[in-house]
Parts: sequence; structure tokens; C-alpha cells
Amino acid sequence: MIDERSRKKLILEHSRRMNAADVDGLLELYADEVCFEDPVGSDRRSGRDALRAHFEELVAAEIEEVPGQPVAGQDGVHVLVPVTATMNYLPLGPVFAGRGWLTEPASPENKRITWDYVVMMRAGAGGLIQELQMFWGRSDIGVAD
Amino acid sequence: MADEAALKKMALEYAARMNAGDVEAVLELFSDDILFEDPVGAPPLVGKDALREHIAWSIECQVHETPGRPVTSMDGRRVAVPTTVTVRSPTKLTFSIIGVIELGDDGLVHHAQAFWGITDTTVGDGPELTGVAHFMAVTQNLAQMVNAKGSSSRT
Repeated sequence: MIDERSRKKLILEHSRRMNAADVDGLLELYADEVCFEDPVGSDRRSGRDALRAHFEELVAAEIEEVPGQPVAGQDGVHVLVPVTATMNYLPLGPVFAGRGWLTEPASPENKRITWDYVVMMRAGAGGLIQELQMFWGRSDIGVAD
Repeated sequence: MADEAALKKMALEYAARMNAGDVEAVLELFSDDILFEDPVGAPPLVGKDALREHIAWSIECQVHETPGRPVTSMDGRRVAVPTTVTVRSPTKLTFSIIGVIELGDDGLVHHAQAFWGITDTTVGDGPELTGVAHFMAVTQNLAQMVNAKGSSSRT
């Protein structure tokens, strides 16, 4: 059980480290047996190596998250936050387009992906994140100049 | 599997029907085997009869829901929506929640989760309390809400 305020600090610190492109710092927030879904409803992946690779892709695209107000479950483990984010279309955009998640723009250079999602985390022993789920669908992502 | 626009509409429709105070119209959105967690961490409600009582109680408390922007998922089943919920009876409480619903193939909600904590709840319109004073005020007012349950329908 982790108190509500500590869980909210954890999820905001996660955004801060994401924006600082601090992949090692992000991994420090996670338990060894982590699993994650980004987006929810796509492949569920597990392990720190897969998570590191995932964060490296986001950081390479210069992701910038603007978190809203976090909320805590009364189960001692969950915390969620709505986020608006942008990142460079390259390198991940073509992967998303290939999966039918967005439409490839005519000139992908200098384009940004714009995004709304809700982050859900489950934290366990030692205040470390055991599960990360990102809620977003095709209608929550777009491409802008 | 519903399309994303239909999924999001479902989340907004729930808020609209709650605000209209129509218990049966709210219940039409849910499956008979609904699993309803409000708040997540309390024992879940299972089935429509248990949910009817909960919805009727919320409406007795003059619930009003103001949903933010819903987001969905890639499986066409889930929606998450940040929402501000207020109740005005027996006292005014404001909850900052994130609701997550999951729809079945029948287009009805089979699982609903309302995530909100004591630290996501504010009491009245006065100056915002902090720390232990806030915790005590919230828990006492939640207890009052529970004690008032069903009182207006009793004769």
C-alpha cells in the first residue's frame, strides 16, 4: 500500500523524467517484473528491456507530456493521470501508420504527433511501478505541423 | 466491437443520464452482470439490482457529472474519462475522478471503475483544507452520505 500523495508524486515524476529524456531515471521507477500496454488493447509486453526500448523510442521522438490532475484509487496501488502530449512524427509515426493507427502525412519531416491519453499505473512494494497502461485510440492521435 | 466515437458517446451519455436523474435510463447502459467499482478499492457492486440502489442513492445526493475529454483503447472496448463529480446532499462534496468503462459485444457496459481518492475529494466551497483536517472532513462527510442513504425514500 502506497499513500495517495506518494502515488500522485510518482506519476508526475514519471512525466518529468520522460520530458527530460531520462530513460535510466524512468526505469528506476519500475519493478523488475513490470508489464505494460501502450496503447491498451495492443500487445501486452513485459520486462525492463522491452520497457527501456519503448521509452528510448519515445525519447528519440522528443516526446513532451503535459499531465493534468492525477487521481488515486482507494486500493492503495492505482494512480491515473490525463495527459496531452506531442512528439516528432519520426521515427515512430510510420510504425503507427503501418498499424493503421494514424494516416501518414504527405511530408513527414518536421511534423509532430499530437496525442491525448490517460496513463494508469499500478505500484507495489517499495513504491515501484508494476504495471503501466496507456489509454488511447485512433481518435486520440493526430498529426500537426 | 463498437467504434471509437460510439464508445466515447457511451461515457458522455452516462453523465447526461445521471444529470437528468433518471435511474432506469442510466441502468439501460449496463449489462445484467455489471461489475461496478465506485470507488476502486471499495467492495465492488455486482449486478443491476445492486447498481440500481447505488445510482438511486447518487441521484438522491443530487449528483452532477461534468466529463472532460474521453480517450479510448485499440480494442474497441474501453474508455477512460476524467470527470468532475459533485453531490449537494447532505453536504456539498466535489470529486475529481477518472472513470474507466469496458463494453461487451452487446454494446453495454460490463465493467465500470471510478478511480478517486480521499485526496481527490473537496468539502463544500470554503477554503481548502489540508492534511489531517482535510482527511477528517472528507471521511466524516462521506460517512454522512452513507448514513443518509435511502432516508428520503423511507416513510
